[in-house]
Amino acid sequence: MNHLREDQFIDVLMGEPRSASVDMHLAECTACQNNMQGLQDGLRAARIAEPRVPTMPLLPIRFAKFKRQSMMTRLAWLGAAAMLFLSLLGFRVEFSDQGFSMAFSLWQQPATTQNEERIRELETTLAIALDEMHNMTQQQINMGLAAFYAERDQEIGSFQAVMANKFQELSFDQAENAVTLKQEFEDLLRKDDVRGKLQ
Amino acid sequence: MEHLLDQELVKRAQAGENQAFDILVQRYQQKVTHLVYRYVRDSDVALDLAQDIFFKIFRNLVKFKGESKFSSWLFRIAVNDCIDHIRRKKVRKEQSLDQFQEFGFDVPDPDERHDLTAQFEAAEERKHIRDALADLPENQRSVVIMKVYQDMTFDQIAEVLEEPVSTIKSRLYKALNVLGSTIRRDQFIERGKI
Repeated sequence: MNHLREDQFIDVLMGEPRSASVDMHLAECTACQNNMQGLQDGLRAARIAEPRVPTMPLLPIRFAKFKRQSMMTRLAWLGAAAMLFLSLLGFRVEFSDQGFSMAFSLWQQPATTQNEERIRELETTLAIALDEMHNMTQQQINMGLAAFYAERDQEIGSFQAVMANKFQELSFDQAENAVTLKQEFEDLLRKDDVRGKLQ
Repeated sequence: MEHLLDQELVKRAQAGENQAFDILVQRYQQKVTHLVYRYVRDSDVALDLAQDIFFKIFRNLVKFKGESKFSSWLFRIAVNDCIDHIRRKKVRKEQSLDQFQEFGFDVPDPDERHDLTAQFEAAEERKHIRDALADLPENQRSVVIMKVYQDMTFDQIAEVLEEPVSTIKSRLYKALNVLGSTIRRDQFIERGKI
């Protein structure tokens, strides 16, 4: 018989089921016995290094709590995304202690081919982002927003300071309003006349 | 409902039954927290990370199709999150001048402090071995943690890591060889001093 394979050594070491020939070979082969001794030392070392798990009071984890947490994250993100989109589309968003208010600003400005194309790109990007939000991890969302910020900074630098601050201030109370905004934003997307007016 | 199998509880939780999810949490919270602790060696971090893992389970439960066991899926997410955490910690450590909590060095939990004398006696040897354990490739370290510390079967580990059993055994073989060399070298040096 050839020397034992790695998996056969482990079977012997960990007391796994194996054929009798494995044990017979090990009983006769000095090289395999030496190898086995090294593995036994390794197992002993691993056990010496085993971190003793302290008594830890387990945190209360409940379905209802996670549901609230999930909803809050979702609403806050949706609200923020909707407001960012509306800002880019031409809404002027203003914040105060009472919440926020909006008004169109882009209507007063002459539309150009350049900003219309830019708005269309942003519109598509955000629609996809909203659609896929459920599949995104927080890290992915952050990365997506970071990329979005970078693009926005190139085209609409004036929004940077206000939006960066206000995103952080977005609270759960505002999120309810943001849901309404999201609905409005989706309605806006469906209306062809928005683009018509921009042109 | 406590007597139900994971599979049935998962179905009920997917349908929105609060209690089914809560029972799954009760069934696995301690095992997951212990697994996480064995990676991160910090009880506060372990508790927070375990909570994050269950939140991830909650958010993705509707997508779980039952292609593997629920426990394998749960532990897979836990192991991946632990590895991600350790990677981030390593990056932060490299970027920081504060090297006090060196990775692999066991900052004792308050609960462990009563045993400081005994710890001290073996501390040097344990530190070397823990350093060697921490330096193992992630896939080898994971097998040591799951097999030697968590006492999982090779089949379970294979399902969690999505690798054949023979690969898992091979990784354990390599990891134990390295740890065996470490302890033999330490003992050789110790004898040399005498």
